[in-house]
Amino acid sequence: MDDFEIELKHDFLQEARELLQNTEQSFLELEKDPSNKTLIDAIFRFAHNLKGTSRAVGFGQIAELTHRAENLLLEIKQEKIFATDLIVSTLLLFNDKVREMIDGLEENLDAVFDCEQLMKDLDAIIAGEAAAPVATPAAASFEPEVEVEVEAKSVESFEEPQVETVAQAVVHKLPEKKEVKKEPRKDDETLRVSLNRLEVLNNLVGELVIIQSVVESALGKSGELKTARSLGKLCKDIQDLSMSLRMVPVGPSFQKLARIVRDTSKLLNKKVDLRLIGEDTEIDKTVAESLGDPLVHIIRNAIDHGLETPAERIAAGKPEEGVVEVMAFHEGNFLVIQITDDGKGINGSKLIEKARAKGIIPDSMNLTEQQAIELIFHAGFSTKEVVSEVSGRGVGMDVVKTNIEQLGGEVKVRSKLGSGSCFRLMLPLTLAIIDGMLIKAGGQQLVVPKGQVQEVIRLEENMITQMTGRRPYMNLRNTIIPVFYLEEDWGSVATGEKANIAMIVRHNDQSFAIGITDIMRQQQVVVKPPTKEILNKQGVMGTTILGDGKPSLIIDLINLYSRKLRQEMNNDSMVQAA
Amino acid sequence: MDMFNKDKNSSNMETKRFLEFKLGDESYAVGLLKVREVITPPEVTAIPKAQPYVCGLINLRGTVLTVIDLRKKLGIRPGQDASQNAVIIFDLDERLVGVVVDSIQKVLNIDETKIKPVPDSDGQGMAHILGILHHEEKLTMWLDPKSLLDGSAPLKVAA
Repeated sequence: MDDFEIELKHDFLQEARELLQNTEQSFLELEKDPSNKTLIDAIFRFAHNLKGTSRAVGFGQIAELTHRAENLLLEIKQEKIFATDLIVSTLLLFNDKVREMIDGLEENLDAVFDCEQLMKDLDAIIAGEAAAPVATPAAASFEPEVEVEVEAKSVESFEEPQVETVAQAVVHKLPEKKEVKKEPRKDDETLRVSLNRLEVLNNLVGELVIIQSVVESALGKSGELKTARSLGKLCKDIQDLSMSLRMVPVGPSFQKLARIVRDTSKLLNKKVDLRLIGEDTEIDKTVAESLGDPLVHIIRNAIDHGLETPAERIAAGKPEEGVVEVMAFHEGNFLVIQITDDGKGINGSKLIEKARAKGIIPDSMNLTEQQAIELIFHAGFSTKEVVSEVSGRGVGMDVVKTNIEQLGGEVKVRSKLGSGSCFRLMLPLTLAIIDGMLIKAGGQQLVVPKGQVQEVIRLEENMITQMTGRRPYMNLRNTIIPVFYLEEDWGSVATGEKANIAMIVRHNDQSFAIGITDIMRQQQVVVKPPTKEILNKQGVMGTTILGDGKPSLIIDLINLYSRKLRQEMNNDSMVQAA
Repeated sequence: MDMFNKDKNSSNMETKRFLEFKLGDESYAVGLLKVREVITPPEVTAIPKAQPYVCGLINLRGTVLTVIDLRKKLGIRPGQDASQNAVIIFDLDERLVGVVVDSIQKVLNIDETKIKPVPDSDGQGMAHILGILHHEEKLTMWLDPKSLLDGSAPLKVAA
């Protein structure tokens, strides 16, 4: 395979992946509105497109499979077959299969897949055996299909086969018309730009802003301040714009949910109305990408644990169909995603019982209703008695919480017994900029994320108790907490400077103090990746460039100290003073 | 036919271009295409608890990169005069690394026939040497910056 061919194939795969996202959506809409003409046309066009291009770049298997689907779609289009739930299910399976093939081909361009069964199912539906789409062999009377298979192997290009039955001609001639008149590409108004280039642009603009401030302070002396200031405004505008280029709407992450809701509700025999609000809300691409899994998990949970069965709902005086609402909006520097269901709510006292039985909380401990509900975020906690296929595979809400927190976000839950639950995910709009605190420790300037620091206190001589061979500790409002010195772990030289200030960091219900020399100021910093030489150093979140153009390290205090803390806690269980 | 390479007309031998520099009193060279640029030594931000040969971080027009002192890494004593010191920015497959050298010499054009293989030796440093360049009665070591800077195993021994 030469380079050009490989590139062509990869281009196709990328394009096909995007198309598939849209078709899944269309199939789901088709299920709701099976006689929607324009929808069927759109799907048919997609299938035809996919068949043609996949064959052209040499992915025969995709072409062959798609050809079957296209035949079925043609029948639907010509209103010979009505798109029942079952048919939509098969088409969704087809969608999944093609995606699986694309994934496989991306790894290995020569990969071969098993799609016999699906092809048979598709053929069977066309042959009118839709009632049993599983393992029905293609009917013997189905002559034309066989012919097509031969054609698929022998004809490499778009050329129409020479010999055709009349029925076959319809299948092929129809789409041909559309081929002649080239479809305008839908994404005409957007331009695909590699993230790398955007990063370079952001780097350069950041540098521009720094140089501008140098120029401004130099010009200020010569009275040309006005010009310098307008340059400054311009630079700021350019910086805002270049930062915003990384933002994408949350819509695509939401669209996946429609499929999840459909499959889950079918499996559990529940009726669900999924409402998506605020799909245009924008968020950093990196955040958007890691949003999918937590969302899917919460939605599955809402349907499985939250919503009642139709019978239960009627008995409770609710409409038969449950509502799951997913709403996205901006709040300050955060994107908020709220997932609300009108199910039975979370039963706090049941959770307490469970937690006690599992030894997660001691019997003597009393929890408020809210604290009880928050037990669902505890590791190893699944309230369903029976582990179901849908949710509760041991990994649970604790994973969701961890994932969101790793992104610098937060998860909150509110629930009312009998009337439903609401999960609130708060995510930073971008990972590229964080609110930082510029600190000094061990003769070094470092940046720490402001969000990790709960409070800052001035250290006095007598606040810290030293013990030989043990971690020093201090008394913070009647709680004994361990004290670390950043200088010991991150100072470049032993300066012998006193730690004047302690930052209090809280992680997993455990607070600890970190002694530093000074806090310089708070500022927003642009997070840049760590260089290879410091990539694996524990506690490095990244690097950044400070206002004066000097690089600095961003230290992840929680990452740096939580493991150390756990080890030491195990060694000598710290005494918790009441 | 080859309108872009007029200087090559008399010879059909391939020539390669190198950047020659000094580490201490020793001459080394690297393939010119691996070099992004050469800058005067900037102020570096130290990386605490890093390997001793890591000088620190610099800001190269918005990109943060590490600067390494090859002399410390290879155990070469730095020259007396630091005024000619320079930092070579290497472009190693999408990643930039800076290297402090004593001085930049010049760009060498060397016929392929003048590039000799590395003599068979078990010296540690030889691991990162691609060949020996014979020019003007001198021998210059042709270093492989990628294997030298990518932190492969033998390096840590050398440091």
